[in-house]
Amino acid sequence: MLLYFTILFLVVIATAIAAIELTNFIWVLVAFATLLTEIALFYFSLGFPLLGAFQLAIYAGGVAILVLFAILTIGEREEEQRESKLAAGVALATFVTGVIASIWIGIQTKPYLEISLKEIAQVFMDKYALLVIPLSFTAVGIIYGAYYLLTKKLQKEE
Amino acid sequence: MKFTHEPMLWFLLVAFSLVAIGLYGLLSRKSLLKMIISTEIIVNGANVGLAAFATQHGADGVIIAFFAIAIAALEVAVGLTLLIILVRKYGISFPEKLNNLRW
Amino acid sequence: MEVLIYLSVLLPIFGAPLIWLISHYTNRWYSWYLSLALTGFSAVVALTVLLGVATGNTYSHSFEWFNFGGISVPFGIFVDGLAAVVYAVAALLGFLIIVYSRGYMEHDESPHRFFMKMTFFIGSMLGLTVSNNLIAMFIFWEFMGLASYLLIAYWYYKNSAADAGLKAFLMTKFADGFFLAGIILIWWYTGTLNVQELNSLAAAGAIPLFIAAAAALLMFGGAIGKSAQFPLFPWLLDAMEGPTPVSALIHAATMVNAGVFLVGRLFDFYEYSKVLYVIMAIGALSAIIAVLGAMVHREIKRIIAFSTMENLGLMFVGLGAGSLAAGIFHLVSHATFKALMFLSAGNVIHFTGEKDAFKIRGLMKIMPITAILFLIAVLSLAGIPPLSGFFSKEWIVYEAKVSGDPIVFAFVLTAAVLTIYYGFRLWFQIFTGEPNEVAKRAREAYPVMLIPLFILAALTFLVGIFHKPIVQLIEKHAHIPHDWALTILVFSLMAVAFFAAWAIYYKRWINTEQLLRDPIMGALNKAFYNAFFVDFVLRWLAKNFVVEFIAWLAHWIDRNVYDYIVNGVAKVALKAWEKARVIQTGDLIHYLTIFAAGAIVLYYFYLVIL
Repeated sequence: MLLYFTILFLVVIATAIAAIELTNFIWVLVAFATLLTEIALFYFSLGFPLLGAFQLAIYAGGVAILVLFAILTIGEREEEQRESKLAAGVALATFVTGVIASIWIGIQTKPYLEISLKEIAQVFMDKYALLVIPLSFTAVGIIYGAYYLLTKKLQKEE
Repeated sequence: MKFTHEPMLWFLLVAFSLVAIGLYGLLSRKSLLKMIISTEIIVNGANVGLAAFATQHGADGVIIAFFAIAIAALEVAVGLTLLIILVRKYGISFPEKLNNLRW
Repeated sequence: MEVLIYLSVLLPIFGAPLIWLISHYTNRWYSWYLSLALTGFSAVVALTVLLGVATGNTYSHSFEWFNFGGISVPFGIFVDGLAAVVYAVAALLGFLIIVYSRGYMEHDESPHRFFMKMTFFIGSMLGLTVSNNLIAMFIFWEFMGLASYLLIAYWYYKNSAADAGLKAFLMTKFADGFFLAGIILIWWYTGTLNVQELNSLAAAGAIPLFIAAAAALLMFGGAIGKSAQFPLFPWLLDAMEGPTPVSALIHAATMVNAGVFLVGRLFDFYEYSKVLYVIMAIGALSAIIAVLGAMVHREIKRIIAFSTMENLGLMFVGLGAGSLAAGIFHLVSHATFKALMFLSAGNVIHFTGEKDAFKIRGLMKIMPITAILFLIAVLSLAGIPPLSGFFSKEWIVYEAKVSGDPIVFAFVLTAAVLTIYYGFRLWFQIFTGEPNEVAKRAREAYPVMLIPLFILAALTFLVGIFHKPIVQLIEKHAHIPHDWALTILVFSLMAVAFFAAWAIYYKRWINTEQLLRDPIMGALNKAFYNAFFVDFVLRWLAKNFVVEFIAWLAHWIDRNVYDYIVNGVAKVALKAWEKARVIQTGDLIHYLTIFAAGAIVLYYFYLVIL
C-alpha cells in the first residue's frame, strides 16, 4: 500500500512541477492532464468513485481540452520567466506550514468511513440542494459573460 | 486498490505539496496560462484534502469537492476567455504590463 | 383650566409666525386683529385664572419633556397667587398695548412684522410666569431676550436702533450666562429644578449654604441683566430707540419684570441662601443712580426709562429686605402706572413728532385728555394716595427702614422722594405754559389710543383701592404696615421736592441754563446725565478687555495654534502619502505574494494565540 501511495505521490509531485516549469505549452498541458488523472486515481482509492469520475470528466476532459484550444489560439511558447525568490520563499513557507499542520491534524487516523453513493446523495439533498440554484445562476452568468467578452471584444478589434 | 486505514498525514502531505507548488507557480510565472494552471493545481490540492477529510468526518467534504470542481471549471472558462483577449492586446507575458493602478 | 393656560402661552408663541404669514399675503393690518385675538384670549384666560386663584385654587400640571441617560427634563405649569398676579398683569397690559399700537404704528410700513414680534414677546412672558421649573423659565427667558432684540431694533435701518438692539441682546445674554450657570449648579447638586421643590428644600435646609448662596447669586446675575440693575442697565436706556409700545411692553408688562419675578418665585430659596442683602444693596444703588439720571435728562422716554430702573431697584429693595409681597406688589402697581405713563408719552411723541421734552411747551391746551392721563401716571409714580404707587412705595420705604441699614434707607428715601421731582418736571415742562410751534402741530389722540389709557388709569386706581386682596393673593397673611411718622416724613420731603419742581419748571423762577454754568453743578449734571459713567466703564471694559484682549487672544490662538494643527495634519498626511505610496506597485503578482505571505503569518498567529 505504501508503495502504491509513494508512486502516486511522486508522479503527482513530478507532474505538478513539470506543469509549472516547462516552457513549451504543449508539454505543460500534457503534464497537467497527467496530474489531473493521477488525482482522480487518489479519489478512486479513497472510495469516492463518483468524485473520481467527475474529476476525469470535467478536469481531465473539459478543462484540458479548453486549455488545449487556448494554446492553439495564443501560440505554443512562453517567452520568458520571472525570477522570484520571494515567491519561492512564500511557497516554501506554505509547504512547511502545511507539513506542520498535516502532522498536527493527521497524526491520528480512524478507520475510514464507508461512504456509499446513497449516503452522499442523502446528505446532498438534505443540506446542499438549495445551493444549486444560486450556483446555476452564477454558472449561467459566467458562461454568458465569457461568451459576451469573446464575441464583442473580438468584433470590436476587427 | 483501496486505502482503508492509511494515515491522514499522507494525503494531507499530497494536498499541501500541491498547494505549495501551485502557489509558487502562481507567484513566479509571467504568462497568464501558467497562472491559470497554477490556480487549478491549488484547487486540486484543496480537493484532495477535502476528500481525505471526508473519509474521517462524513460525506460533506465530497459534496464540497463536487462544487469546487464545478466552479473551477467555470473559472477556467472565464480565465481562458480573458487570456485570449488580453494576449491579443498585450502579448503573452502581460501581467507586468497591467500596472496602471500603481502610484 | 390647565389646558387653557397652556394654550394662552402656546397660541401667542406659535401663532406669531402665522400672524406674519397670513397678513403678509392678505392685508398687513389684519395682523392687528389676529394679534388682538391671540393676546385677548390670553388676557381672558389670565383674568379667569386670577379669579380662580383668588378663590383659593392653584393650577399645576407637570410632565416629562424628554430624558437622556437617566436625566429627566421636566416641563409644566404651576400657578399660585404670585404667578397669577404677574401672569394677569402681563397678559392684560400686553393686550392693551396691542390695542394701542394700532394708533401709534399707523404710518408703519410693516405692521405684520411688528405684531408678530409683539405677540411672541407677550407669549414668552406668559410662559415665564406660569412655568414650574427653571429650565422652562430659562427657555422663555431667552425667548424674551430674542424678542426684545428684534423689537428694539425694529427700525433696523436706523443705526442707533440696530446698535441699541444689539446692546440689549449682548448685555442680557452676558447676564443669562450667569443664570444658566446657576441653574446647572442647582441641578448638579439637588437634581431638581422644580421651583416648589427647591423652595421646600431650602425651607428644610437640605442644601448646603454655600451652594445655595452661589446658585442664588448666579441666578441674580441673570436677573440683573434682565431687570436692568447696576451695572448692566445701559441697555435699558438705549432700548428707547424702539417704538414706544415696545418700550411700554418691555418696561411695564414683560421683560424687566422677569428678573424680579424670578427672585420672587424662588423667594424661600433666596431667603435661605442669605444673599438678600446683596439684592437689596444693588437695588438701592440702582435706584439712586436712576433717580439722579431721571432728574437731568431731556428726552421724554429716557426719563421714563430711568424711572423704570429706579422702580425696579425699589422692587429689589423690597424683596431684599425680606418682604416678597412688597416687591411683587410694587411690580404690579408699577406695571400699571408705567404702562399708562409710557403710552401717554407715546401720544405726545406720536402727535408732536418730538422726543425732546424741552422742545415742547403747553400741550395741555391741545391734548387735554392725554395731559390728565399723564398726570394720573405721574401722581401714581410719585406716590399720592389713593393711587397704587402710594401703597407700594411707602411699603418699600418702610421695609428699607426696618432692614436697619442706614445707607440703604437713605438711598431708598432719596429715590422715593425725588420721584415726584422728575415726574412733575416732565409734566410741567410738556403740558404747562403757552403752546409753542412744536405743540401746535399736535392734536388730541385717536380713541383707539385713549381707551387703553382710560382702562390703565382705572386700573391704577383699582390697584390702589383693592391693595389688600392683591397683597393677600401674593403672599398669605401679608399686610401693608402703617408707619405714620415715616409717611409724614416722606410727604414733607415730597412737598419740598414738588415745590422745587413747581418753582423751576412752572413758575420759572430759577433759570436752569444759568445754574448749569456753575462748574460744580455742571459736573454733577454730567455725572447724573451719564448715570455715573457706568456705560463708559462697560464700553471701556468691552473694548480693552474683551476686544483687545480676549478677542485678540482668540484670534491669535486661532491663527497660530488651530490653523497650525490643521495645516500640520495636512502636511503630515502629505508626507506619509509620499512615503507610503511606493508600496502600491500596481503589480498583480506582487500583491498576490504579499497576500499569501500574510495568510501564512495569520495562520501562525492563530496557532500561537491558541
